[in-house]
Amino acid sequence: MEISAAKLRLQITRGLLYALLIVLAILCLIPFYLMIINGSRTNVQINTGLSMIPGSNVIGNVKTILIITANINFFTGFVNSAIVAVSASVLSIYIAALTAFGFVFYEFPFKKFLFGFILASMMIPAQMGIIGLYDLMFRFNLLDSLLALILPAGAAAFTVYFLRQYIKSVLPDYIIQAARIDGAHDLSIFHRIALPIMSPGIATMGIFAFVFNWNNFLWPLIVLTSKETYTLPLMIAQLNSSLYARDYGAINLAIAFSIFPIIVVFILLQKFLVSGISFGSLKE
Amino acid sequence: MKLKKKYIGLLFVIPFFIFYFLFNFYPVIYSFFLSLTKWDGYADPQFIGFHHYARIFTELFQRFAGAGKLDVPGEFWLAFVNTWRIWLPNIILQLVIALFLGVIFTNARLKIKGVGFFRAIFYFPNLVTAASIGVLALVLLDWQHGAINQLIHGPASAFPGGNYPPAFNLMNDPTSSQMVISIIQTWQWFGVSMILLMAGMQGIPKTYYEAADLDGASTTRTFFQITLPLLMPVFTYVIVTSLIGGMQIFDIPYVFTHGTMVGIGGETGKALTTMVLYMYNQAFGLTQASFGYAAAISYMLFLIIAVFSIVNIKFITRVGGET
Repeated sequence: MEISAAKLRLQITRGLLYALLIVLAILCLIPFYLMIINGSRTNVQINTGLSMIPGSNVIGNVKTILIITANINFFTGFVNSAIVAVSASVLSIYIAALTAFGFVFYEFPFKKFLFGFILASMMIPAQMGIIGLYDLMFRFNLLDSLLALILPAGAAAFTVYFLRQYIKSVLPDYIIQAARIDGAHDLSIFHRIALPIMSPGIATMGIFAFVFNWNNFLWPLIVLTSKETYTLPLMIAQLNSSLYARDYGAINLAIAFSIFPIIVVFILLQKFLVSGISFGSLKE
Repeated sequence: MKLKKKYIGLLFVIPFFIFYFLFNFYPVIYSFFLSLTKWDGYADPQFIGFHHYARIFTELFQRFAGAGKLDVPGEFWLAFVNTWRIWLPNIILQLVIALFLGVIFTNARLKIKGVGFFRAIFYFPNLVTAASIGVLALVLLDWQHGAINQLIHGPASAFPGGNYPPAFNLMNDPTSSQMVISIIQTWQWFGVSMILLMAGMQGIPKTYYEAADLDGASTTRTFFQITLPLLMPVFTYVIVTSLIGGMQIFDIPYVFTHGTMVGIGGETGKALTTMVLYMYNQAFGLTQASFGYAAAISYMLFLIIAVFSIVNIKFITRVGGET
């Protein structure tokens, strides 16, 4: 009898915990659900009450977004964000992979010193050089250009560090040696052999780079001054602040558009993300 | 041939270092130079030595000396206090939730199902654009038309003649508006902390738990005597990374204060001015163009992050060492 009482207690505990977990899960998702619902309702409907059922005013809200963003199309922001996020990710990953490959398979002068530099730069907060970087972009005449957002991505120290560890664990030295004996030259070994084997690690860092660049706010806010170059987060902040734009249906729908690619990335690739987060804490 | 081989590796790493020196190293060094100047962004920077730093430290002293008085100067230190008032409640709450979830997810007796599913959902808010979350929060929390107030009071149409019960406007009070950001931060980050702590818990050798089980140790005792002490390195990692990010919080305070009813000048606006927002306003705000002072703020930010990271690591290794 005692055993079954303990079992019952375990069952009750388990039931309560599941209830708690479900409540937490709802708390995580409900703001986005409300956003989608309100994005399909009219301003009047939103003002009069809460609803859990979608409305039918999606097209009306799209029109309002276009009116609020007036002379410049809101969806230009979408294109700008996509250009920045994709190019910055590709640039940072490609250069980091080259660098990691160089550090693992080659000996060269100042190797330890240069790697120490990479480690040290991981400790420096991004904001520290931001005024100097602004001045640099001014001198390069890159202010208000998307290039000012893309180029700094080429110096992704953490990605180098991550990919270096990754290559060490997945790419044995003898494969490279064998390719060399077959007469393949160094860059083609990198492209034909190393890159494909590294692809899961590259995917992990690539997703993080994409999400980071898609969400980036402070640096674009400093650099971009004309609406033609605005990325989506800037558009959203601007929608929020336009005084006559208190159309909540339109604002909700705009936010939904701005995070749509993130939701897609999350649904398709979340396995890579979870493994990527734990990396830093365990491998040190 | 041998000599050539020696330089091939260098060719692989050179592109990175070109980008690194141009867009990272040089700007950081040049920012330090700028922090020693008075510069409006147009005319040539005027060298004024450590004037900006002296100003910041004098203001710190004045703040201590004038403790209790309301209008003590020291905007930077106000921003410092604001940043901590947003970060600290968030990290405490975040760790409590993350630790609790980690324990029940890894507990061998409970055997919770769907761990991967819950983990993914708890992690999701972290991925979403902070600026968008800020705007969404403003919309949901709107005190007249927001979903949260409608949930509490019912729809406005239920109160004809505009007699809508006066809801408490969270954005109209310094403390409550800071707490709103603090809770948003917790909501965005508890999933990440949970994933990190879980990975740490799974790394603890099973034999410890088996031995504790044989000795008849309770779950609570096992947690405090085995899990927590062995988790200290991961704890340090979580707290330090959160500190580094938390001291640099910008997006949501910016969205809350720029172009909204809150503004940057009022009580709430001042309370939401974090260190990086203060830096931004000094350099790129409408009236200011104090690039030199802004650069000094960014160096102070680094100093603060470095000092508190070291204190944190020292403190935790000491506590961990004693148990």
